Amino acid sequence: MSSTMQVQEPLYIKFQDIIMKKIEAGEYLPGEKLPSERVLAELYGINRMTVKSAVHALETKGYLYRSQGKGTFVQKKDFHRLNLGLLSESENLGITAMVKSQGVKISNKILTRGVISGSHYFSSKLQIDFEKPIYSLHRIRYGNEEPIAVEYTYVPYQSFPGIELIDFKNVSLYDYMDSKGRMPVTFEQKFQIIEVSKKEGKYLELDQGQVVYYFEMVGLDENNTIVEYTESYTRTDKAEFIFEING
Amino acid sequence: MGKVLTLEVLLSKEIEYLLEAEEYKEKQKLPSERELAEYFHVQRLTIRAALQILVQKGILISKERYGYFIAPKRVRFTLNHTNSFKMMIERMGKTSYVKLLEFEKMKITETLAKKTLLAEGTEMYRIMRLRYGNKEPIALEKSYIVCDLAKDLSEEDVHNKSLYETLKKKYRLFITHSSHRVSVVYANGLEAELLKVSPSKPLIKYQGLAYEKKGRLLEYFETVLLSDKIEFIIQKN
Repeated sequence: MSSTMQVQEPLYIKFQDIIMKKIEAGEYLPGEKLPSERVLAELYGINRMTVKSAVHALETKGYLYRSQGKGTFVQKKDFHRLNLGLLSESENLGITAMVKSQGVKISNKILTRGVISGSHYFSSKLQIDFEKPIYSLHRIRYGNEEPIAVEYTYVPYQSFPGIELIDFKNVSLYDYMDSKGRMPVTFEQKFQIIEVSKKEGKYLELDQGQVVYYFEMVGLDENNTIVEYTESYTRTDKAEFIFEING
Repeated sequence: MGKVLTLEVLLSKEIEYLLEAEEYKEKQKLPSERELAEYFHVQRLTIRAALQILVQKGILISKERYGYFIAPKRVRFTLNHTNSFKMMIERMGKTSYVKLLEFEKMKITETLAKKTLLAEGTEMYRIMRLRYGNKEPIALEKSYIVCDLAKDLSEEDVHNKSLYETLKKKYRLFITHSSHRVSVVYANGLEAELLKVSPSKPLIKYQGLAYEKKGRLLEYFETVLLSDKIEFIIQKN
């Protein structure tokens, strides 16, 4: 590794390119914490000053951001469009959630995560065998610290080995799925407006009797394999949904 | 089954699966709590909590001392197909009827011009209709059609008839692209009266712009629907 670094270009530029490529390739995901400068220096056999200059340059370029006392993170792409598990980056693939105000900073809270099995309901939604493990990830999505949605997501565990190691507080699920080549690109969705239950009401800070959007959706990857089943509850005062129809 | 989901939630899902697998019909009665508890090998209280989740979701109705029943099905409103509302209602085994309330030719308003990006002074037909499913009001539909594209549109063309069918047959206008927006609003006085709900009841607001084959804007629509009668469906392409 270190021999390839000994070139005419300033070392920090070379190193900066490596990190940029890793971000673009999805090896480092948006929101993911970068290893510490010390670890990076050891990893690439370069000195810490070089790492520091490269990281600083990438911050200026908007690839990374520093959070006081927490470390350096990969920048998230877009704050305006809320990826509520409903957004398709490509066109016309599903319904898109729009946060009603601009410049909203999205954050997540993990409610619970882990493997489940032996559910007829979820295995039939994912179209996998009854005994197969399912990874479930339950999150509250916040916009500017206010709750917007609760999402209960289920993915076939065997398609995503190692998913339990990903930091979904900071990394988007779709960025992760994309990095595995299993990003959902088409969706079957249905939604209703229902009165919020006590449980989701608590998460969303809503009183009983108030309504929410309730979504159920199945996401399929490029090979038409189901990679995701999600149920979500979204506050009606925070988001609306848009979509385009052709033909 | 692990502790990721509570037993009640998992059970509610398994009951949902059972109802789907055994094709329970609208208004059909469920087995008793006792029978379900035996079937799933759990306590009756746990079954009750699971059933309660499904009542909350509007899948079941509970009638005291009589048990649990499948709730009336919502009209499945498919968003990415140009099926008519009439067809969607009839597919649920309900009768559909649309009553013309207002029909007029008007100059575009400022609000409307902003929404459509049409020029000031553009003339439009304003059509307001009330949609019924099984004789119950279900939606209030407002539609604005650019006059130039559908000259001499008349009341007869839109009273209890599909507007899009008329546009196709009479004017050879085919909608090839449209953009839509769904949000939740609270009923105003007129909407509450026409839809027979209390004011401030949450309604679905469904707005959109429809363009014809040559890319010209043909219609702006704004529909409010009863939120508890509708389920939106978005199918994969």
